[in-house]
Amino acid sequence: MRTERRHLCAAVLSSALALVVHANAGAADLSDFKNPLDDSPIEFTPQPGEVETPAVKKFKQTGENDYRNDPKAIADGKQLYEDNCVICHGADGRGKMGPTLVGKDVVYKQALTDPGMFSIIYGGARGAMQPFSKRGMKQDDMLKIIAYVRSLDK
Amino acid sequence: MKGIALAVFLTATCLGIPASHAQQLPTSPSEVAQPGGTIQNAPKLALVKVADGFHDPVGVTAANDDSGRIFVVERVGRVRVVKDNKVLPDPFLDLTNFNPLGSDVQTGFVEQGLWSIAFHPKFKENHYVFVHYASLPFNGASMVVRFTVDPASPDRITKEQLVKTAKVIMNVPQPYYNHYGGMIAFGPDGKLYIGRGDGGWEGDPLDAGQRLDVLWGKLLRIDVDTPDDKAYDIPKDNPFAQADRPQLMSLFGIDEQGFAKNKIGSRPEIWAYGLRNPYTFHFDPKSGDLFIADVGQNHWEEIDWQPASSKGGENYGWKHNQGSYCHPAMSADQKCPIVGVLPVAEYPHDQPFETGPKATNGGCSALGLGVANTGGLTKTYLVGDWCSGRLFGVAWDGGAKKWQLHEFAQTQLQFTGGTVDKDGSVLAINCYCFYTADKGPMNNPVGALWRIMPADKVPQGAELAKVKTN
Repeated sequence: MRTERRHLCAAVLSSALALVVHANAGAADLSDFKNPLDDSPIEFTPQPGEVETPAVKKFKQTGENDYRNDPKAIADGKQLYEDNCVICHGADGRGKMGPTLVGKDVVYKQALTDPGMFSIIYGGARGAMQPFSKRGMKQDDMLKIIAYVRSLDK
Repeated sequence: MKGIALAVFLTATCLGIPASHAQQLPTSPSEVAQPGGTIQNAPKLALVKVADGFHDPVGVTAANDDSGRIFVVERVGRVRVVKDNKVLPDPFLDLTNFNPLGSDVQTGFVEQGLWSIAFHPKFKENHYVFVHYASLPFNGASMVVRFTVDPASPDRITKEQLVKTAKVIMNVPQPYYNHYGGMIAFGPDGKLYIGRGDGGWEGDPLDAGQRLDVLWGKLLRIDVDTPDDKAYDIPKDNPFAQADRPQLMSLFGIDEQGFAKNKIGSRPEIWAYGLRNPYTFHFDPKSGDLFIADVGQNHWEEIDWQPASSKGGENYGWKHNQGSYCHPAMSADQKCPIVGVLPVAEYPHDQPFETGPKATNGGCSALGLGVANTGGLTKTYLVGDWCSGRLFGVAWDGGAKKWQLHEFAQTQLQFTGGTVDKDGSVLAINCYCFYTADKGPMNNPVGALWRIMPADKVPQGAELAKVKTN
């Protein structure tokens, strides 16, 4: 099984570089590629047959989610959200059985950034917020879900 | 309730225990423990992985035969044996293939399946084991069935042995596909206790919790030491054992308490009622006290407690109350009567009431794991939440004279049950099964078995669950 440590390395280097050049949102975002319980780094292991899309590659290097401004991706994200997230987080993302995903009052502050939310979807958080990577979800789909959730946060 | 409190007081007095140390039931909602409490001198806890690879593990029981074996229940209808920290390749029993027409277990919904296995107190002599599951042939009815282990094959009940020795103890029809309850266990009195949910849907549309003429929404207590042609007996000291007996009507010379004992149509199997979904319950191996983790609806989880001296008959309030609050739970300042016995502890869901602020310290389904009496803990009921992964402890605080709900850790685990091992430590299991993204009992990611121990006693090299301790 291939573990994408190189992306983590890229993220760390990118973060360090950004700190040297100038502080920006991307630098802060990249530091949120972490487990919400113990802040340990996330290791990204592709699903069998999964090929990293350009959006995923760019996201891991910059923390920028290109799908945020992509109506088609947001529409896909809506469908994925309704299939996987709506029971716990509600149609409006403001929480039901699980916590809110919109607004500033999130349980895990890292969810305020896309890398932070991605880490939670990918690697899980507490209890029933299980790693969707274990359930076979592709990383590209996680980015689409995030794009849709952000579209609710207006 | 008053009777229980009095019994506790008298027992404590007779034994010379200072009254302040004797556990007491809360007498008002303000005395019910909520998150934020502290168990004095509680150690930090860690979860050490014992074994892995279980398909939707939803129950676990430690053997009572000095073999050191641990039996993990897989929802699909199998029980796996863990021996010396290894999972044996063949299941202990398999309910999926003894019936030539297919599995005997209904697993279509995540709350259905095989839930529990219990070993007869005299298992070493009679080799009896009991299981509780949702039956496919009986349209999801819950079945309690006894099997006999062949001593020549102690780790495997063959298909032939299952068929040859099966004795159906109980078959309770199920109206809806949720809220079965599930756990069965023998009490220190040798009787079999059965946690039975309210039959499902939501809001208890059948009023099962409060009705005494149905077995749903109850903790049941039966005597299984009967001849093979009799499924079970009613213990004579069950609270409603005589409540529906044939009798002549007497209108005079009977006081009002005497009249109140007549519960026409009541089921004598009932030990306690007013429960919603008592999926797990555990006796304290030391004191004999009983804790019930009653899974709540949309807003509150509750932990109930009975002293060993209880005579049964407790009403835990569902569907009039959820924890110490009202049902429906509209707001924090809502007023309603408290029906029956209060829980000793409660914790909220993300949204504690239909209106009002959110909470960040609760969960969605309370699963009891076992009563800890080791590692710096005494009479502490460990409870894990299926949604939030929080690990709580419920214990009486003799100094403060109140119950405490102590949060030990936040974990990534979806707790589904637990047991107490022969060394007194509590074992827990977790699944990756949930209402959403359920791929079926054999296709969800596998779960594991964990030993809960003080963090400073963890052996070197042990694999630990990721936790955030407080």
